[in-house]
Amino acid sequence: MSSYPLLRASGAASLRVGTDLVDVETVADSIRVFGSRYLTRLFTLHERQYCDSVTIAGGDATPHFAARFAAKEAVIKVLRPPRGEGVAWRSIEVRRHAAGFCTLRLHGAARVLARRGRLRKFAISLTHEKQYAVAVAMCETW
Amino acid sequence: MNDAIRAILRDHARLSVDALSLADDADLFKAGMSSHASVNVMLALEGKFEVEFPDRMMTRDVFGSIEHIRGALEELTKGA
Repeated sequence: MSSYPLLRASGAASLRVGTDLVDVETVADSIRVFGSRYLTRLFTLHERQYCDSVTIAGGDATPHFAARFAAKEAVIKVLRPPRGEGVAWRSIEVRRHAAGFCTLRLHGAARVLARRGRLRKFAISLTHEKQYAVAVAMCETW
Repeated sequence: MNDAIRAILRDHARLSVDALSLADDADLFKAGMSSHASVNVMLALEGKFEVEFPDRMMTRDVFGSIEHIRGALEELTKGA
């Protein structure tokens, strides 16, 4: 039952938010130590292709990977999986759009949790500097 | 097996305490392990024990203590 029955009765929704902070250097270390095994375990093909495009353009993909990991953790905080219920990182995908903004696409267990928790209208914001990457995820409960 | 787990925690978990002296039931997240560090621990365990953690095991519980990690590894290596 909602904590805000009047809001629910009027059809209004409440919001849920999650955030995460990642040290970019730790991601660089993981890529150095575990290589493609690390990247393919955590990131979808779309995410890897976007980060690869940063490298191809002469940039450093590591902060972009770090921001995407932060996004996955932020979404897990929003999903609030029950104890003992796993959520694969690849089931939460950050979609980068040509205009520069990002959206979320949920698959598998993450999608099931969102439906079961009556969560919708997910939004994500990422930012990164050389040392840290941050993501904020938000959604509406209905 | 617990000593091998402790060695991996020492190398990959970025704990704020000495992994080699941790109790089997000590909470690894309270001992300083971040979610990202738990990924490294998982990948290192997979390499050492030649297993693959399935999606259903991607939980804080499974990587929350040495005894929980051991339980998961025993399940994965059962019958191998």
